[in-house]
Amino acid sequence: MELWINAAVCHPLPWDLGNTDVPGSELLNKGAARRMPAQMRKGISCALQALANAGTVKPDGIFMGTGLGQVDDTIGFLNEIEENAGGILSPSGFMRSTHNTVGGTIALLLTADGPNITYSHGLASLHWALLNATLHAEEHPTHNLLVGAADEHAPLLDALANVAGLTGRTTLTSGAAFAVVSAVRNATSLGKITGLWTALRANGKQWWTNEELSAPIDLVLFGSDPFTGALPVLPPHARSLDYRSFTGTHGSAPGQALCMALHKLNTGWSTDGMGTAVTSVLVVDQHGEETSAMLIER
Amino acid sequence: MQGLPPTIAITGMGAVSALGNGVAAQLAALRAGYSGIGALRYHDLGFPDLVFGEVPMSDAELKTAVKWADAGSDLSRTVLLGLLAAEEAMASCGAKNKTGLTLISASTVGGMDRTEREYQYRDSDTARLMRAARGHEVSDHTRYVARSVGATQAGTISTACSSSANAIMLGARLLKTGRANAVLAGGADALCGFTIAGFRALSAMDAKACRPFSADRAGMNLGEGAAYVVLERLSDVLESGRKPLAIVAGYANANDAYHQTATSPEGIGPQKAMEVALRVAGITAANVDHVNAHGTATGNNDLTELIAMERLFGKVPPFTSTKSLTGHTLAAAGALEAVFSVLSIRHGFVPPTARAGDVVEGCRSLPVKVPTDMAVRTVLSNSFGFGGNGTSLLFSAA
Repeated sequence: MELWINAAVCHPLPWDLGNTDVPGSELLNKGAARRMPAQMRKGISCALQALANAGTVKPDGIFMGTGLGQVDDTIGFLNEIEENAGGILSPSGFMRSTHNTVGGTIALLLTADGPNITYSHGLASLHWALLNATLHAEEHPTHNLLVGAADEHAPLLDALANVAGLTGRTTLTSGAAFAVVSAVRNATSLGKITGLWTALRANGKQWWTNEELSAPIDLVLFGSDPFTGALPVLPPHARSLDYRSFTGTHGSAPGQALCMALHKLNTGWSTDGMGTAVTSVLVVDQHGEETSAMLIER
Repeated sequence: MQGLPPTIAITGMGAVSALGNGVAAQLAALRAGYSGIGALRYHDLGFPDLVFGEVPMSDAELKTAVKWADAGSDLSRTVLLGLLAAEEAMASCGAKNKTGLTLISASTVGGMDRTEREYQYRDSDTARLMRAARGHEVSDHTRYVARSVGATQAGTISTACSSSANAIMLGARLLKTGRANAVLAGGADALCGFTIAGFRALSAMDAKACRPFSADRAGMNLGEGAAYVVLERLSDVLESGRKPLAIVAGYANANDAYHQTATSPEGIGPQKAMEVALRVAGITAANVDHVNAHGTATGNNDLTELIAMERLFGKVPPFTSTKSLTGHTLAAAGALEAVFSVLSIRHGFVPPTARAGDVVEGCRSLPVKVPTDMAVRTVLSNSFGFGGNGTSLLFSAA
């Protein structure tokens, strides 16, 4: 498989965390923006910026990932139920609590009537979205597809993480990352995805075949299991970096890692001390019994 | 020269719904036109003014029915429903073992039934809420089902009411492209106060038993359940000496891109999904014998689905809304109605739309009102959801 990435945008930028500017915010219609919760607005702004960077007006398909969906709206509607038991509730929070709200809203904004699928499978959500995009791109090589991931943060998540004993080990954050992909390379292409893996019961075991990863990997960006801290098994002899020390942990963090990989491949970004001669980056995440990974090459 | 893409067969099915536990129970109820809509008996959720398609089993009974020894004791109802249906599907597929099984499952609310019970303790006993929150994610049920059936790869789709139809579509494509050897695809959703309050806030619920595709329809009844199908390449099935139940001949997902919760007046998205599914199957609308419609009984959905079907078919083939029997099982609906579609093909009948009345204003087509025996070789099954999401699946006789 080869899925070309023709634009990629994320927020926050893992390599420039002091930069609070949300890419694409000026591209979002102000009326629509006012009706959106702040965290959702950031994600959709990133999507619009990625499309603009790729010169794509309307994507032929939208494939999304999210770990927890619209957390703010879910909590807000639970509060509303509690506060107005038996009374009249506003449906807005419920409508937006649906996991495919971001993908559906982007389709609405762009009148994008192609396939629109949202995956919610922990830290492997984006991997499934990318796999679906790959299937689509193979069938429709001329199509430009929007692939992304967005996750929110809420104070209640920190309280839950605290009682779960995660404080000090796992920092829960939020973030969004969007890419425009296609089966063919074009003038804006930043790199290509050449491998996707999601493997169950892979703890402590090799999850790839030697044939799949026969060439040396220049850099591995990895993230450990949020609850246990267990590390994924990594290919031997690869330089590695815990990317979540930059992004924190949320279901869409692998999307930020994908942007980190592309940044590294294209700019030689070296604040990680990993040098500049990088042509392949493997992003690997561990989540319970599951290992998920993507290989990005120039 | 590239060969034809592999044909994808359904080799196993499992289902639990308001019609009972197991595919045999679904078949008996569908043929009898039995409606499982009624007041809640097994949930302590309130809502005495509403009726639902409740699975007629307590959580304790569900736990007893689940065969998996490691199921544990502290599971959401969504997990229990999912385990039950998945176990039946795998047991019925006839394969001695499934190496390299991929699970694609779907849910809209996951473990919300437990989360909402403990939410009141978020400040006073956060640890108590945390125990429930560990199972809150919509993918939680997928992980349990994956363990119970020995899947080596699993993913979760959450596209509202079209979720498990999309799971079946993805499963078929993974098999067609050689990315999977066998796929268990479906979904599970339990009733919970969150969704009931949400759909009531949207004024989408009928206090009485729903009347899909009727002039006097007044909204949906929520339901719960789970359903899974086992998908394999037909060539592999035949090679192993087994017989397929049916074929997944076509599929499509399209977006209406009109409104977050309402369909466009012309039913553009639904029509596109149906048209592309027929194109993938390589057949025309005239070849469709029966439509298992989305048919929620809301004013907007039924009208726009009918408009889209009448434009596509001209004379709409015998169609039905089995949600009048099961309630709307949300993420499970697409897979549950896939099971119903296969039953229609294999047993030669169309299940009824219970309580269907006069024709919808501005339309000319009435659903099948009583169980009707007829030869069924192809069924188009529609599933439409929030976010303009529309999926159509085309099943055909093996």
